[in-house]
Amino acid sequence: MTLLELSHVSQAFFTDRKRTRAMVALHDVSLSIEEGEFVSLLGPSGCGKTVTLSLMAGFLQPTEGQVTFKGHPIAKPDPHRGVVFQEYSLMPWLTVRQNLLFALRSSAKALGHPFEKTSAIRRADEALAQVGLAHAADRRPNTLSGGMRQRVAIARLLAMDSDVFLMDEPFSALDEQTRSELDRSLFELWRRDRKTIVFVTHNISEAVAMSSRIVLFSSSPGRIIDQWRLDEDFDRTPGSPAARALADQIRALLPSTFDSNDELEGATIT
Amino acid sequence: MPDRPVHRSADERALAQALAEAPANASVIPVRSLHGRHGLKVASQVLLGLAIGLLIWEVFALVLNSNGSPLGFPYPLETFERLGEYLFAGRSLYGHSIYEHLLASIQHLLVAFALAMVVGIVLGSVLGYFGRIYAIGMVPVSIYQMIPGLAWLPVAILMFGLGDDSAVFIIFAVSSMVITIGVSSGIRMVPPVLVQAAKMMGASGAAIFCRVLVPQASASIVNALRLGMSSAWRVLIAAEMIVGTGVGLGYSIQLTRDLLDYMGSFACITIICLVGLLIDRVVLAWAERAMRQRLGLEEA
Ligand SMILES: Nc1ncnc2c1ncn2[C@@H]1O[C@H](COP(=O)(O)OP(=O)(O)OP(=O)(O)O)[C@@H](O)[C@H]1O
Ligand SMILES: [Mg+2]
Repeated sequence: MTLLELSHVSQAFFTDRKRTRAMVALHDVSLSIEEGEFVSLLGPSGCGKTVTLSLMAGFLQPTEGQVTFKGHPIAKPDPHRGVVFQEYSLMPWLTVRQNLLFALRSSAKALGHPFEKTSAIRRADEALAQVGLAHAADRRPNTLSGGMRQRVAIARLLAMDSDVFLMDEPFSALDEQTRSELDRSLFELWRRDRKTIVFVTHNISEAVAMSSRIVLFSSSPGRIIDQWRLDEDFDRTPGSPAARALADQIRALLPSTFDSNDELEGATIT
Repeated sequence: MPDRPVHRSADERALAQALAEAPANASVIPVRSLHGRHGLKVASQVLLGLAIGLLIWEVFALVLNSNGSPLGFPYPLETFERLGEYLFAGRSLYGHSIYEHLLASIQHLLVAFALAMVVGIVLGSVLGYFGRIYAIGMVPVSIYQMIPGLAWLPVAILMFGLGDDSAVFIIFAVSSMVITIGVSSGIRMVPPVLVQAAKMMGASGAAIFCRVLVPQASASIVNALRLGMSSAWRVLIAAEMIVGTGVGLGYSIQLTRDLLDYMGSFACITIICLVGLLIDRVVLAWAERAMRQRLGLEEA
């Protein structure tokens, strides 16, 4: 079943206060996300990955084209489409568990479900256990490491049971080792539950290690230039021949995708 | 050339000693000797600063008096003596005890501040939350905020005549604008990602305001109140001096000055300074710290 669909979406933003010019962040992007997929949106900095994700979440309305969720146009953000932000987004005055309860209460209210505290606490604790943070339930976000904070952000979506997880470079602020650990556990989570995941990254190896599909963007204006499906038995182990071949194939497409030199400078494709 | 011994501060020596005494694998170790010393250090810094302040005053008085100033510039010591008489010996300051003057001033302050707090928080929240009216609303707020406290005097007197109400109005006018600006900027400084996260979780506009913006901004809100309070305290004295409240510390300064009792004026100034410091440094600073801690804004 198609969960999310962008059809012929373009997005423009004013570039100056006087509103005499606009830049085209996305140009004619069509993309559909099927239930159970793990789709990585890959591309250099500034190619519109965050904009694409914001459209899917409902933070933005497309300048042109249509974005639908389960066939209905998206009017505003809602808990069905959970987001893990690139920046830390936990409420600092709440403990980890209270953060999850906040999410559960807000989403129950928004979806018109009853909210029952004891079962919500159970759900919150289950979600924390799933990301290996059962022991941190009573801690404040400022006492957690960056990796732990992002795991709580994931647990928040698990607790809300969002239909799709929209993740915007969730681990890019973390060190290499923590990132690959979190990549691995996220991939495990997906393999077990088959949650639909849209994962934004500008790191080729990260995309190859996890995705069931990779969508490659180029910039100025942002558009899709290629896609790859990775089937079940694709050997994702970093350094394996298959993974390396795919990474090379992607890398080979990149230079030509940069229209100007300054974009090359800004690119952090690794 | 022989190595010179490296100089180590008391802090460094205490840390080294603590490390030597601690068990091998401890990640947090107690440091015994430093705890009391820190308090002592702070106290001696404050005392030293105070002594310098008083010394400057003393020198001033000596110089001015040696030039044969006809009235006699009060010295610190005699001023404190006079203050002691007001405070402990029940000496009256033109018909009222100093406590009555202080009480009257605090009353003006609290009434005006309470009103300013309500107006400032409501107005500041509205301006901070609704981006569209912020640009418009900030125009009158910045204009009013530019008006120095005493420039409100004609307005106050037209509205309330001479007396307490005018003083209260002037204090209110000044501190409400300070609070409005502080509160609105505190709310606007809330990281957008928190608001986005709340929207994603389905929170309504009211919930976002009450459960995200206000808690996240509450340290700024307390700070705005602190600024509002200190500007209120400052304008309070001036307002009382001018509008003739009949009782109050500012009014006493005015009266003592008119009667050439400069030592009395100085005693009043001293107590104003002490009470102001007490309110700001002790009460409000504590409230701000407690708030930041409760909110988890301070790194642990
Ligand atoms: N709200 C906005 N207003 C104006 N311009 C915007 C806005 N959001 C995005 N843009 C512009 O659109 C382009 C694409 O931005 P986007 O954030 O989607 O890039 P990205 O692919 O996520 O890059 P990165 O990897 O650096 O996060 C950028 O040039 C950016 O400046
Ligand atoms: Mg981005």
